[in-house]
Amino acid sequence: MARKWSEQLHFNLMLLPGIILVLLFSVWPMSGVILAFKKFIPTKGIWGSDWVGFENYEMLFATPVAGQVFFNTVVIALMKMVAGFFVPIIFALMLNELRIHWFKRTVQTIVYLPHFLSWVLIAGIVRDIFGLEGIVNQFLTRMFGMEAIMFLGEHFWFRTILIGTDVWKEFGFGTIIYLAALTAVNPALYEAAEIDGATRMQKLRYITLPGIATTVVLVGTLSLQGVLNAGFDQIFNLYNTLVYDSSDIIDTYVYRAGLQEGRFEVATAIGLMKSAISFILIVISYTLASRFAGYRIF
Amino acid sequence: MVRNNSLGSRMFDYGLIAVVTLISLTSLFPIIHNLAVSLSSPAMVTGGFVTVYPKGFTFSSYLKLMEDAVFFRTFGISVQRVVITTILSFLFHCLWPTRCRVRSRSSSSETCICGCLCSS
Repeated sequence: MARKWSEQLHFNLMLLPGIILVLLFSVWPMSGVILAFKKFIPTKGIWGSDWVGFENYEMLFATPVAGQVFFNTVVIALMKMVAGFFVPIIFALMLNELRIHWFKRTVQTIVYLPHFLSWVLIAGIVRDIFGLEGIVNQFLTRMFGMEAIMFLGEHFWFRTILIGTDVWKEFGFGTIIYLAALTAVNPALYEAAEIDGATRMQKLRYITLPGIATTVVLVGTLSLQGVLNAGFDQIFNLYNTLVYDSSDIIDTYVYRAGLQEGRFEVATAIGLMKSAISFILIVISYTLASRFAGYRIF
Repeated sequence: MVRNNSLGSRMFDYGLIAVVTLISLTSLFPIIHNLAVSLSSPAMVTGGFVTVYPKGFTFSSYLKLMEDAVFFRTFGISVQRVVITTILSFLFHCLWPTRCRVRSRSSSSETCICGCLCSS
């Protein structure tokens, strides 16, 4: 089985550029995590600064902000995960029930559209629509004589908008995944069920759902790894000081505390902790996915 | 194919079409609204008269953009990045010997789905 080195040489050469790229841009920058255990003094540099042990973490856990930020991240990410899990399934099942083909195709394309817009653009649109003088508030004040609601300045509404826009942007993509899985269901099963007099709900329950069950489990377990990613792009482009208490997540806090205030060691400490937890979650979700859905990368 | 054409079934169909149309309109509306705002006169926009189609039609915001040298520079940088990353990632992906494999139990479409998931 083992081939000679000279026979493999050209394969290894082909691999080399990729490996260099990974070492240079992924592995080498990781050495910067030692900053989490040092007191950073810019003139001494990353390597020359003094070690302080776990002092950065002690300082971090002493502040109330850290707990709040962690809590916000998990809450927002979980709500996004749950909503973003069910909406595409339900929508795909609805599309699957449609009998007019061109209509199904058109809808599929339209709901897929927002996926291609960047959060910067969507944040602009959201501000336009939900702002104090935006179209929603205009509608509310004119039609119902209500007071304008500060959608982007109140804790409840802001979180709702975060989750709503995230689902709005991504459910088209999820729908396509499930529709692809639905094409694999054998049409003969439906015909047999119809001849046997199955109702729509029965066909849904006994043919369609088992048909996409593997994909549902796979997507669900894989989404578990995102529990600490509440969406930096989105929140960074939408939030303001009014909603820091409810919507400041780890990533935005690291950005402000680390890059803007120049406390690089604290930012690194949080970042390292987040990566460690995320790594564990990825391992768990991968194990679950391989056990329940037969998903394997290696 | 046997079709159930009972009244209930047809009502369900129409209801479904209505709901799906509504959902796709919510997907489309913000984008159309944005387009309408970009083509309207500023006074109409701040007054809140613009919804689906532009009012006080004008190209002024686009003309302003055309005069903006920074815009074209940043646009150029974006294009440059897309081209470079596409070429590089295409190259390295082709060189990389292992591929994302899925041991799928039932169908080939699942393999394709998981390929999408890995690459995204």
